Amino acid sequence: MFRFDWDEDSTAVAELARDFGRTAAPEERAAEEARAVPAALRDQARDLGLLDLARSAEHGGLGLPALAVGHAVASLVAEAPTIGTSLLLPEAAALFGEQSLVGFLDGGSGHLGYRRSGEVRLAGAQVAGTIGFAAAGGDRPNCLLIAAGDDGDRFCRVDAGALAFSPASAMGLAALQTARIVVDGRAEVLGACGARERTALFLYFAPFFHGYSRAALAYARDYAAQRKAFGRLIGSFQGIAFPLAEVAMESEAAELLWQEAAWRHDRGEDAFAPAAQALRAAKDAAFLAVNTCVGTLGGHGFVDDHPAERWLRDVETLSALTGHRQALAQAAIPIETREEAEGIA
Amino acid sequence: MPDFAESSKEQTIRAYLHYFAETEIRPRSLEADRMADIQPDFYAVLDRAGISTEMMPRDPGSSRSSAASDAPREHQTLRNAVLASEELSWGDASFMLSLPGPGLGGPPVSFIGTREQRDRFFAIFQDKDRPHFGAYALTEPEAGSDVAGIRTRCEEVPGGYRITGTKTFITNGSRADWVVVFATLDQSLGRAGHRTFVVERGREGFSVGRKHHKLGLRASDTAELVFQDCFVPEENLLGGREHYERQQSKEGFKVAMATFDSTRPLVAAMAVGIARAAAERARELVQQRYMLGRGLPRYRAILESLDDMDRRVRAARLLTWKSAYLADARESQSRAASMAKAYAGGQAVQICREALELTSDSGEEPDPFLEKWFRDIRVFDLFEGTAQVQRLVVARRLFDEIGAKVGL
Repeated sequence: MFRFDWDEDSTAVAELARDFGRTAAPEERAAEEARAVPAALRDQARDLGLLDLARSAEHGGLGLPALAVGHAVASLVAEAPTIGTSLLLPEAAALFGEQSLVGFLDGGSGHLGYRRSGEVRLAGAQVAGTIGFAAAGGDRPNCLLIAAGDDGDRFCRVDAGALAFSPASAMGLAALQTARIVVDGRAEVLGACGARERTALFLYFAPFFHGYSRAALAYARDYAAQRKAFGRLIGSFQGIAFPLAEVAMESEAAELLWQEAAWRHDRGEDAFAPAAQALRAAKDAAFLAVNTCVGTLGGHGFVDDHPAERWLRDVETLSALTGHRQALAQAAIPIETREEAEGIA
Repeated sequence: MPDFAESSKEQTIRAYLHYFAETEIRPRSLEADRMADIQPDFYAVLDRAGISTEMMPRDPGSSRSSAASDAPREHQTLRNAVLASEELSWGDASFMLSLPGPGLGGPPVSFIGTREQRDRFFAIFQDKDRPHFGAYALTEPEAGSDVAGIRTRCEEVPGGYRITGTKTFITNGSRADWVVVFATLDQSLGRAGHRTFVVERGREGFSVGRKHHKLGLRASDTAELVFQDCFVPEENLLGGREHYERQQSKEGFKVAMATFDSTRPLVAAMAVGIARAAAERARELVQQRYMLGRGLPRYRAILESLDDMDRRVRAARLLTWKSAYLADARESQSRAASMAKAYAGGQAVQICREALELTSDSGEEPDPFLEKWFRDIRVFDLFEGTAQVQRLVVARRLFDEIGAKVGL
């Protein structure tokens, strides 16, 4: 019978992540200005095991199911969105036992139904191409990337020497250090990046958006509960309160779609289409949440005295890094439906 | 850990009810809509199939009940009820609303009724000679979602109360053997003045006014009930006088609210059932239709629309399931119930419109089922609390979380 509670282990990991997020929260603005997560925080996160949340047991990690990983990620990001995302997004590589994932859409992207103009091609053991916009991945000896081979997308481990980074300007997530990356060199081909691997990535990415949604909703609500206009708390106006209720509903709906998809994935089922749907819903809900947060704060939402404007920039940048909404919509159409459509005149 | 698996028993219930909806309800649906009534033979079929509101929760709040209560039976959980509600509404929500049984009147009787009252009022449903119904009369012409504003008066008289007022939009109102009626001792007392009664059909001063002609759900009976100095004995005051004295105030209002907490997930599940039916029908019809010389499925935008409908149906179902789960777990869930109701109702309205639009703009006669569901679904944004009321509840609960009194 369906249920929605969390077990003790998942709760404990999520609370650990949340508490770290609360510690990191005061450093959010400084992290953006410095365009880097403070080293002490990164060390602390590493010591707590948060950078290895997604690492499977076979690769020496805790082997947490996708549900538990996402629960923890969302809990951390809800407290410290910018730092949490900057720390944990590149750690998607841990899903595959690697150190740092650069790029995500940059291979053949066949499962997403479209190809980018700049892509990384794999020929034999050689990779070459450009990743136009990606998380730089930090200072790592090697990186994981997805390249398009003749027989499909492949995970490749590439020595840092084969990668040329140049800063890519983005309006948000400055602490993540986004970059344009030119790839040219030898690669160690690790295996196929097929539907199951893409599903794992969709499921890893969605909780970052849930975290932003939670943070924005809480911030807007708290502001509406203390800011007065026309002699009343602005939360007493339905024009303010109803959009907050809308955010609560859309955010909850997005999280539940993700939970169901992650549950299917953890059971070994094909969850590609539901995961794509869940990631798209998470993006939509997060935009609604941060945009509503900016609107709730009025003019104050437009200036950097409050984090709302930063979160709006962050969410759009995060969205660009994790998959085109329209491509996800296409991906979410079950393959059998597409095949059926092909069979119709 | 969240778990979305249906047990084998739930799968069996769902499959059985789906089969029943497909073979017994859907074929009767359009005619019932035209007749604005359920075909009389349906109740015999229902009885033979063993389907009743026993699948619905009779005691969703038993742990909070002040009266002794039977242990809740596994098959009466709200989770099972939302599964049943979705499947039967997939067939036709009017039939779902017309299932014999206590209906929406059941939860308040279970919630605060004494054991004697529960035995007395539920006993009638053991009679299988003809269908029996209960009903729930809260809404008034001047007070719909505003429960605190009800005007129907109850005056204490020797041996009981006299009720005067009019209730409107009452589901199964003209069919009901008894009706749970909310009234006020004195409007100036606000919520503390509310009392809840069970009024049996046939009592002097109790009559059925007009039956409403509606946009949709036409086969479902919706009536106006009139109380004119209607005497109700003391033993029909739900929970008894001591219940209100013990609770001191606001108990009648709380009963109404607690009822909504258990019925809103059911209504949300009905909306999910209709939306699912519309999305499936659209997918089926799209396969057969052409536009500008190409099959509709060849248009990516069409496929994306169908997929998006599926996503929204699933999201609405999950919100509904979560609110039912919280109710079964005896956790506070008025926010979850309102979110489920608001989301499912709102999305279902959009899905039914899109399904109709996707399939009717190609020179074809509009599909009668899609047109019917388009009419039926509109009320799901209105009854059991309008979309605005649900948002009000959700927003209030959001502020409650931080203990803020914003005056919303």
